[in-house]
Amino acid sequence: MRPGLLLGLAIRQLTSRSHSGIVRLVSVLSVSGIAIGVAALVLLQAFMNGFQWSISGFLGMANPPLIVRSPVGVSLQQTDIALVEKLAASVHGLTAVSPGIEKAAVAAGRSGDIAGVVVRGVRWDRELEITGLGELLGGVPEGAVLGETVASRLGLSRGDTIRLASTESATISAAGRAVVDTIIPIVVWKVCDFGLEEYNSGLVITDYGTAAALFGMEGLYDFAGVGAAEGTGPAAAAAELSALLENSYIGFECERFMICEAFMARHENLFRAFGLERLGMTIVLGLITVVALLNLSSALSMVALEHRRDYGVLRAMGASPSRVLGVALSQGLLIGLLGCAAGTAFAALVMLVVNNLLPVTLESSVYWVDTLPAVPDPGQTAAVLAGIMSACLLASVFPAAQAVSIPPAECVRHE
Amino acid sequence: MNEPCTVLECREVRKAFREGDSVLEILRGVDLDVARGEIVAVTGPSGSGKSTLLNILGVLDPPDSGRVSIAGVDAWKAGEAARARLRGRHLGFVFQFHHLLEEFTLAENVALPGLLAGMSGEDAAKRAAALLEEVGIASRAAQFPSRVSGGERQRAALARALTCSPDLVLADEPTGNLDAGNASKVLDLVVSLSRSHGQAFVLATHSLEITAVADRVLRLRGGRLET
Repeated sequence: MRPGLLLGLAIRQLTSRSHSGIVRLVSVLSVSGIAIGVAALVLLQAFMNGFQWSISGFLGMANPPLIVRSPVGVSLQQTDIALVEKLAASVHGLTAVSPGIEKAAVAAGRSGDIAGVVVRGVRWDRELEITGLGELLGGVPEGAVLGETVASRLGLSRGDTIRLASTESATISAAGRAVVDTIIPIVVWKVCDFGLEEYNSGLVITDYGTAAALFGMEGLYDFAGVGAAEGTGPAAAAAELSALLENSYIGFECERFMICEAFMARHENLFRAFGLERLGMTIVLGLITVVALLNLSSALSMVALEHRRDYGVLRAMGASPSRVLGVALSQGLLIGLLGCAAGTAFAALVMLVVNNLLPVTLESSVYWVDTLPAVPDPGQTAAVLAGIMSACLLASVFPAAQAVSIPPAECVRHE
Repeated sequence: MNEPCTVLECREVRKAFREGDSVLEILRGVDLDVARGEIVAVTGPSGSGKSTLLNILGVLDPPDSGRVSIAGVDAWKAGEAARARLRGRHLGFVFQFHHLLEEFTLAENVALPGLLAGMSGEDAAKRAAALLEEVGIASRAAQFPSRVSGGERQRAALARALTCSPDLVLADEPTGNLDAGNASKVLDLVVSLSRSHGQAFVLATHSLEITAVADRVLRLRGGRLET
């Protein structure tokens, strides 16, 4: 039998108007069930991708892809930085090194309120080379850059002065008290949205000199950020640089033991949690698809029962059982195909609307980001569709076997 | 090579149905030969086993024992695929209630056996058109079975049985569901088609008109065929 004929028979039976169109109705309901399942799974993957993509994108924008530091928190010296620069130059794909300081401090503004902040001191010329901050700031800052939430809390805007103080440079008075007498005033050059609430509510970036003076760390660094060219795998490059650093330490080329890690690896637990959440939600939404598949199976059983006489007639006309099986299986595939097409189209429409017209807004203090984009992944979508088509085929096997198992003589009995 | 003269050979066919503890023996050693172009009528009261016999002869239902040969092939010794080919190439069926596929037009119903046998769409459509013309319902070709009369449906069913030019057409009460006028038309068609196409017909019937036109009338009594 030609595939076209087989498909034609399957389509005609599914769209049959006989018996008040009940077969057609259950066919449409089956397609709808599959479509809902497909749309739910495709949208879930897209929104989870969007959430992860936003967070990793914003994290990546404000941070270098690789970080070199001492595992025990010892400050790095200029000689260490020079060594890192030398070794990084020998690793394929690594671009520049930008050393910096990052420590907790207290900030005060015009509102009279004070806030705990993280002050990061960087060499702007290098930092803009290895991070995405250049795009965010639109030039080399000539003052402090701070997140919009902390700026709002301190009543600061561009041109105001933020005062920073730190216990790192405290001195002990004659009375034995710690005295914080280093208060650094610095002009706010830009208040910006880093995209992540964690940064918006507590990050202040200054030039290296200001931070070094604040923390009493002239000539010392907490870390060295390392840039990577596009297409370079940060994890592999970090491992290679780490090995070089380890060899240098063993070979007495440097005094301090340093390691290099990919910035995202520092947030591995966060992304693992996302993966777990994705898996849990996929299982829950997958249950919708299971219900749809059960519905498909019962609908196809009904179609087989409704058309048992037709199957007997087909057998009488010379169709082999495998061909009748083919008709029944292709009905399942057809419903699956239409359901997948409708579900994917609906999901695409929802993504289009969410990304362009009606964005999903989130409470950024809870979810880190304030909007949730949909980022479809063709591989994931293909996996969802392939899984559901396979499940449709599986759900069709029992009804198809039913259709074939009835002896043809039984099918054409007129009693 | 000359084609065999006998298209159907049936020997010692037995069939029983079990209902609970009791066994109802319907066929008790049926012998039947049908020659090419012959019209054989099988009569008998309701429940005598006419339909069961036709299903066995049509390779739709296996006998408990005995042999059924179609065009020289022992049908029940062949595999399922070979039996399907036998039905497709050598047999045609006409059922009492036409059993046309409701979702297909009359033309499509008649073309279907040809498509199943591997004819091209164009050839099958031409064959269907010619057969519908021959049975006198060419004007109804595009209609669905639910839109035509009982007589027209049965004529379409007859045309469908002839699509692949089978050696033997098995018809179970082909006029049983028709009024006298339509029954007569269908019967005339059976005779004329048998004469023009050389097909053999085995007709299970109560109808006296059919027995009048048959070359041979056999009575199924006590599970055996009698002349």
